[in-house]
Amino acid sequence: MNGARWIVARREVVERARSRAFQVGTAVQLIAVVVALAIAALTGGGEDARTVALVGERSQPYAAPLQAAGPALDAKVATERLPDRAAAVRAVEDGDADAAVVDGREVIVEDDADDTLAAAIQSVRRQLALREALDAAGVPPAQLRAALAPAPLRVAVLEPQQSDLGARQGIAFVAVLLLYIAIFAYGMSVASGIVEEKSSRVIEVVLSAIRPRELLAGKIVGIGLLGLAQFALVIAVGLIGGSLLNTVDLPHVTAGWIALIALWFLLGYALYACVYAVAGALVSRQEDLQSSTGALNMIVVAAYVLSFIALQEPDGAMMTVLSFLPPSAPMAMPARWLIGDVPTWQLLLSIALTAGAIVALVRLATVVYARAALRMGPKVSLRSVLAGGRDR
Amino acid sequence: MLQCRDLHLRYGRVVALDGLSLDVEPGLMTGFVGPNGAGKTSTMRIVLGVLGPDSGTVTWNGAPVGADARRRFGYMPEERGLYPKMRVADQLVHLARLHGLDGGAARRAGDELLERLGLADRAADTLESLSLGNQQRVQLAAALVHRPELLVLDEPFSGLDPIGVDVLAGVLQEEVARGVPVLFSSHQLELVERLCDRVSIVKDGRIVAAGGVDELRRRHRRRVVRIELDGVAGAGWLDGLAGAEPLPADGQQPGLLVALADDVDPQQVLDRGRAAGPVTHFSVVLPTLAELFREVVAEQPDDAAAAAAAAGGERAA
Repeated sequence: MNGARWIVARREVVERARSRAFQVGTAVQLIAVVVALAIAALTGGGEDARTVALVGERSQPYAAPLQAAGPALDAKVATERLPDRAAAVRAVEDGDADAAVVDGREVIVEDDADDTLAAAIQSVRRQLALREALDAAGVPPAQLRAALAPAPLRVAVLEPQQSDLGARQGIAFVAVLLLYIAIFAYGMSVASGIVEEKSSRVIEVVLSAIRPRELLAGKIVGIGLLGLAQFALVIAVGLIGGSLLNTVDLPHVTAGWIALIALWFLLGYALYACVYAVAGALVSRQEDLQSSTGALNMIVVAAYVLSFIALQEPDGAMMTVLSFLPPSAPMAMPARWLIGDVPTWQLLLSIALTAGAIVALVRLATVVYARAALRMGPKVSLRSVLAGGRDR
Repeated sequence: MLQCRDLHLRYGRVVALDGLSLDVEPGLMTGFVGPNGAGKTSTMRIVLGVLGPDSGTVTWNGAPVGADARRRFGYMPEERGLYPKMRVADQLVHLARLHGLDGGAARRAGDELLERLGLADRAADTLESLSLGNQQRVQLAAALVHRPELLVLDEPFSGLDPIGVDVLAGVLQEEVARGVPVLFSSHQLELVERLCDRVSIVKDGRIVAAGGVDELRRRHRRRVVRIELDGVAGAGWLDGLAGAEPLPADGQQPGLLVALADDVDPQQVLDRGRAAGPVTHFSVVLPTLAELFREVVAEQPDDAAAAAAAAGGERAA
């Protein structure tokens, strides 16, 4: 990076950060993150809380075993006493209680008789009946305890599954979405920034002072730095807010994760910024940008959608292939890496392939930009630029 | 001194430059005139390195022009444009820095120039909020902010009101006085004639006439005299003088305009006039730049051009 590139990059950062569009966009993203966290907090997030209403003395023995059954239900179970059946029905209907036990004879649930909570109540019922029968048969307390709470069997796991697979998958979905939004938004910024300079004709003044490749590099770096900062801010607010509200169950969020996602953001941005730069260089007016970037937008969307679909089966062949193809690798590889164990060589190979593609695209973008930057008027075809261009 | 030598440039089948050579000397204002499409803008773009020629060289003070030399050139392109949403002062600082000034020097140069152009109070406004006239001034400031060693301006006067023309002319004259070579193109030939020391006329991608403005006018082969006789009307007294042809009056000044063939001495007309009556005015009429331009550019000057050749400024013989 020589001086001219930094001066251009600095202008991009300062002028864009100063623009209302950028400030509003950042605010909207932050608000969206906070709202998502708040919804997660309100809907219970991490551990469920379940309440069982108990009516009558004969229901009271259910209290302790139900509370003890919480971990198996992946929930915290609370019990509360209600005076009669009518009150219990009302409580279940209003959602104040998830289930009710009436006089140790009846279970009330709202709509699903096979609900896990109802099943837990039935299990407690069997346990209580067994204890009563054994008690009546005069079994000594020590044997009674051994019968009712035997030492658990040793479990040999043949194919260990991560207990937090779901959470990891969720984080991967969010990461893919954020990467997609960032790559798409900043790629388009590069294209429209180039067109802005062409349509306002300032390009000729700038190019009389510096070379096209310096202008292009400075623009891509400047927008990338600003994008990285905005991306990091949104993720930081999400992580800090999530841990404060204790809504998101983050298994192993480490600096390594964040660094890897940031790295893939930069790789994905660099890759697509070059192609968006080509699309921008071919037109002179913002109105023509849609047609010029149309095919490219389709590729970005396809890479995102395919990665998203492949995430359902993180170990599948589709996910593996997508994580190596440069157009989808910046979304698919970090997603795969977040979910499961990706061999280091695969990660490095994917990075190398993407970096190689970036090098080739930087060359293409530099040539096309140098030749097409001063061509005004209707959209020019990439083929004609590559065939008959004029370098300086 | 800037020298362009034998520049060639084609766009597909269209020949834009066909061996164009051009000198721009320090301390002189050089006008660059020619019909639309003759190659003025292409030449300027090549000088600034915005465009590369197919062949030919551009040298600055004897050395081929590279990126470092170009950074010290100032340029106003025909297609005006700056960053619309950027503040005026920031814009100038940015461009000055791209031309190699450091931050402090860039800021000082920008402020000074805005002061000089009467825009100091608009420094913090965005460009798009300025009137078109003021935007033009900022464009000029953008070409000057880095104290260029050479100024190249493509149609700088187009679209300016008379006050804007005076401001720009004044600034350019100051730059020339500072020893900066100035090259500008224009279709306003009266302006070129008034401001320029030298002029280069381009046609079909090559220079067809170049030199000092007065020198070109004198070298012009068509000679016209203006003669005024006291109390004698009409051109009857000229009858019989071969190669002397009366022209329609131009309506600007009294007297009869007479076009002379190459072998006719103006003194013969004067002798005839004195024989016919007292001569109160006799002068050789030099063609204006506009007339010169039309003649040089038109392949075969017709009668209309001949008439026009007489209808303009003159200089006492």
